[in-house]
Amino acid sequence: MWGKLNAKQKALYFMGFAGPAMIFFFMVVLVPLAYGVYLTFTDWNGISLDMNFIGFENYRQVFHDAVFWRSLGLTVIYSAVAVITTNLVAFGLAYLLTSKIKGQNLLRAGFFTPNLIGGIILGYIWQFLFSRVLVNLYDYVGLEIFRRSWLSSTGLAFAALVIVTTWQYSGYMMLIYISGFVGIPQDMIEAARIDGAKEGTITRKIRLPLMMPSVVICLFLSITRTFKVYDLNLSLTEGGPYGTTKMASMHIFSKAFEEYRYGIGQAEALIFFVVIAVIALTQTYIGKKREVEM
Amino acid sequence: MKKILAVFLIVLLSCFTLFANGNKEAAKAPAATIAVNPEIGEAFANTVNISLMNSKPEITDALEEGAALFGSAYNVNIEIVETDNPGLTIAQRYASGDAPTIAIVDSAQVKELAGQRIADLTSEPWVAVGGDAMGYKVDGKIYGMPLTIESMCLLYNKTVIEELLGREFVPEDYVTLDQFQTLVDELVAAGMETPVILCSEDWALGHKPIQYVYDYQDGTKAGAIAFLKDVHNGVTTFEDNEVFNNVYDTLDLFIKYNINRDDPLAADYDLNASYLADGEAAFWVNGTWAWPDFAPYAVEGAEYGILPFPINDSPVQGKVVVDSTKYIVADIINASEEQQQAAKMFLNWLVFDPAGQDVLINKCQIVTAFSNITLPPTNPFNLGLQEYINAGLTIDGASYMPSDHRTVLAPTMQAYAAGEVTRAELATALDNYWTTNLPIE
Repeated sequence: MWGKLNAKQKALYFMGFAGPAMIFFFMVVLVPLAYGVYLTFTDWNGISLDMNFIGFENYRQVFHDAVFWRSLGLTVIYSAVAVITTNLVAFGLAYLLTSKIKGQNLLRAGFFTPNLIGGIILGYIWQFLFSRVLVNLYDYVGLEIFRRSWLSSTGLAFAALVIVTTWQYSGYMMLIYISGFVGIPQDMIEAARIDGAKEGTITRKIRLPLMMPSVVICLFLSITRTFKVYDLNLSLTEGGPYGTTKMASMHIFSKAFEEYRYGIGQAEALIFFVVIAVIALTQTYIGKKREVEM
Repeated sequence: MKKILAVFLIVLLSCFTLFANGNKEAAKAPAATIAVNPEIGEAFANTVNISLMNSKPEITDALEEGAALFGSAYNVNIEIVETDNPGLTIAQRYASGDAPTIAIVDSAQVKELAGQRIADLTSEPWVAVGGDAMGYKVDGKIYGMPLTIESMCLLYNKTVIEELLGREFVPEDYVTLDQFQTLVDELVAAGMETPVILCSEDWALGHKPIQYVYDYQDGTKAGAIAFLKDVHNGVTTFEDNEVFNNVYDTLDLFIKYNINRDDPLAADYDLNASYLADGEAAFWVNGTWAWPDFAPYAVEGAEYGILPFPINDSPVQGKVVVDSTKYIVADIINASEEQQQAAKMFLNWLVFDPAGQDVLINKCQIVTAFSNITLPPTNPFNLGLQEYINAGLTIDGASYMPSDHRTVLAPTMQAYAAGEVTRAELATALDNYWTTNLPIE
């Protein structure tokens, strides 16, 4: 039927089905993006009626904003560590929960639950754990690592962020991995077993290649989510101790809305966007190439 | 048949609507005839709808009560919107063409909005009774009506101090650091190991302590700005500044005797409040704004008060830092003539009408800038502040810092309190900041 339609009719059909979504996409994504790009060339402070065109001045200032580059670097490190831990934990959990252990449905639901709690509440819960519960635990067990709050020391506050992120996202990624595991044809694994392959070899040579689509999705989701972290950063460490765990999103927010330097904040956000886009797309491209056809 | 039913339903519904409206009018009609105060003006014939953006969440309930009282007397309907980020919210509201008629904001927003979007309030009657001194001025015109006066100072627990000392505690005897040190020594000897409480938050531990350096230059805004300009021009540095070193001598003492000293950056605001309330420590380095958070812990029968920042070799010893911290502004872009009029009437009602004064002082529990209001403040911190104001023992608070002052400098000060940064390094950070920035006059 599609082939019989002329170009005008095709366009009409297309607009009928995809039109509404396109209009909204245009209005809430493309227009603000374009306006945001325009704002990076102005000295607007967020409130004022005055908005002067200042060319590339904001970008020049961004390149001199050492704190921004430091926070961006920190975000890259944080994402790298958190993506690895999240996916390892998620993969491990998925492996265990598809090997027919008792109560696996209950466990699946349990591991998924943290993902249902919003980042802000989650941050406050863990802040209480790190600053109060663990410190009180020191009185009983005497472990030196619990003597002071993790959130008041630079390295440990960073570790705390990674731990909470892993806890929050691994349940979600686990679900995707589970669907990957379930989708692997059992006959292939049985054939490998008959050929004498060990469990480790089966995972490496059969399960992993067949699960590449799940891995690609999980990596993409965890990279973009950890890069954009703000809520957890705000409620767990508030960028502290003394500004050492301030991630890029938080820095951009305070530039734009606390320092009223909207243009600079917007320029930093744009650079941040490009960095995330490049990393996420490269990762997807490489991952796609390693997918195998069944 | 169906048609008849539909018509019947429409008629019925219309009757309900009319009836409901009639009821409302009936309820409002007598209120509109209440006698009015000349400073405020006359009640409107038709209900005027206005909106109020409140950025001081702890007084929203009180404002709602006030809005209802004022509204029924003057036929004005005030819708109150709460925000904890006035800069962001007001920017959004202006961007969407739906600015609040009245907005309670910080000084930074008054500065940005003045001259373009908010009313020049210089000719309002409240200017003569304190608005001139504490209002926010731009180019000599008053754009922000001062809502509350607050003081950054030491809060103390009189009961526990007297219990430990075994004598009456007279705050005036401890205005220098040396005097305060003896007091701390006595308290330590009496068994209170760590009498001082320091916060950990960036605004409280990072931003405020630095401001003491500016405030105590000579106690005036002009003096502080002159000093910062000298730093900017390379005439002097923080390290060479006597006040800087005196303030930091005091802060060092606080840090040494901090109840949270084992882990200063893990201090919890509510726990801190409870330490002072229960008498586990004697002094909390904070400000009079702490009362709403402190009140739930306050012990029945215990006495609390405020104390100026103790400092050596200063001509302004024994004075508390005082500043107007929230301002009320009135929109002129989206508000109609009538709405602007209603907004101004509400401001005058708060200052001149006994019911408005009651809302301001007893319900919102604030210290007011207006001298015609004779109601005493309601809580011990504010009562203490009022005494210092009445005795003229106040110095100007810092309100001239650029908008990135806190985000740039507070972390360094927090690191200093945690022992990660030396005084010389902190002084250099301050020098660097002020050589690239100028105070905003």
